Amino acid sequence: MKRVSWPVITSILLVVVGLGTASISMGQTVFRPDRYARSVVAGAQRVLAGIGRGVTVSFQSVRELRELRREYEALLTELEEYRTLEGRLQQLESENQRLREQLGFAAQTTSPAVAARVIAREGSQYFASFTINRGARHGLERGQTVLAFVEGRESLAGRVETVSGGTAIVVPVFAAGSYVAARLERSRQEGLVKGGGSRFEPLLMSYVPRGARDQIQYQDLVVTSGLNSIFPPDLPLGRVVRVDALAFEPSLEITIEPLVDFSRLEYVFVLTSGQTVRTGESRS
Amino acid sequence: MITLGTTLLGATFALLQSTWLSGWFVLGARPDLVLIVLTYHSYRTGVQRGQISGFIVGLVEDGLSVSPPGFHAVIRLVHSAIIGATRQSVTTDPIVTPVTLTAIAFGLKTLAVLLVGSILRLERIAAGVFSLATLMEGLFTIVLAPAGFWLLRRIFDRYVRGLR
Repeated sequence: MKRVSWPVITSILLVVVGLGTASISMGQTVFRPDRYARSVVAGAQRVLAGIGRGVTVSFQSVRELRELRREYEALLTELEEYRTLEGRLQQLESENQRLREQLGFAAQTTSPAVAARVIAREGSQYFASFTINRGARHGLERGQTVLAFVEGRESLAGRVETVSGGTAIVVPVFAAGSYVAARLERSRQEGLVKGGGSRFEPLLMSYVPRGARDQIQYQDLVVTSGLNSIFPPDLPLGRVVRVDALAFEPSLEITIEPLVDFSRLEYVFVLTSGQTVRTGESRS
Repeated sequence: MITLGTTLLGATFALLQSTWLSGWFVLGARPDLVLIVLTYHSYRTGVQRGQISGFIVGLVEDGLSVSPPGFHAVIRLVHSAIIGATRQSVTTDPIVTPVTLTAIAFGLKTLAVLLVGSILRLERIAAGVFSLATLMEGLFTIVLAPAGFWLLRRIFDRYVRGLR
């Protein structure tokens, strides 16, 4: 009788288990063992991220102290200027409020958001994601919008893909399979923005009519249109860096530089409710 | 026991690549340190131990990634199992052996990514495979392989001496 080859049997068994697990997780089954496994792994990831942050912070503290002293002097001067500006700002705010009421628009609202820290990034180059230290326990759910704070205003960073107890995996806007319905803020032309697959690649906006070529300028802001019901409208996404009108394409291909620097992204905000951020609902 | 140790080492490298080393990119790529660990382990211990280690480390990588669970597990299993078949059949050289084995392992990994990606209908995978980043990742991994093998050999030898 022929001798049983255990390595071959093990190979076949493990391949079947691996592909089976992947197929189950990509389907719509209720039982998802990967979620429990992710919770376990995420714990180790949080510990490592914490240690790494501690070491980095210690080294940075000395340098920051010197910089802080210099900045303190400069800030004292600026403070005087801001005091003058504050009075002017209050005047403008009340004027803005009055104009809004006259136009019949509700005041801009900000939906409840959960602040989270980025604790890990995708190790594989075939997928793009980052892990945050907030999960189901903090009210996070799959599909929620993730924002980053850039230049004093929120900017779209991505969407929650997987949630475990204390962590969540976020798919950033630059991921290869990421699509965002967007529009150019100035010309109001709409299109579809897709990720370049890597944080080093720009975003690409398609389906903008060729006729709009003259209305688009370098550094024009691109915002979400809210049309695909995935992301709230008017969230800044990036700026136009190049416009191509290819001869064989009926629409323009616009290259966009994301506002968020994903290499240095440390903190994000997850919108825990629906599309209520920056909506302009009319009062009926 | 040595398989358990290597599995833990591989899993630790997978964790480190997603945390401490996540910002270390050169030309859009970074070396696959997990591949070096698994390649050395398979080369030393053979098919059976190599593939089991590869599978478990791959599962840990799946837990850290947005990939479908099982994706990395099968890929790590494939390259570890095939490299394991070279046990005691390749002459040991401090430079040529690590470079050759790591290059083969990286090629197998890339092929497995394409194959598993098409089985699971992950259409975006192909674009990632045929990119400059993949080439750079392969080159960095191969360049680091001799140093990695040297370090792992010291750890293995010390462990084996400890057993005697």
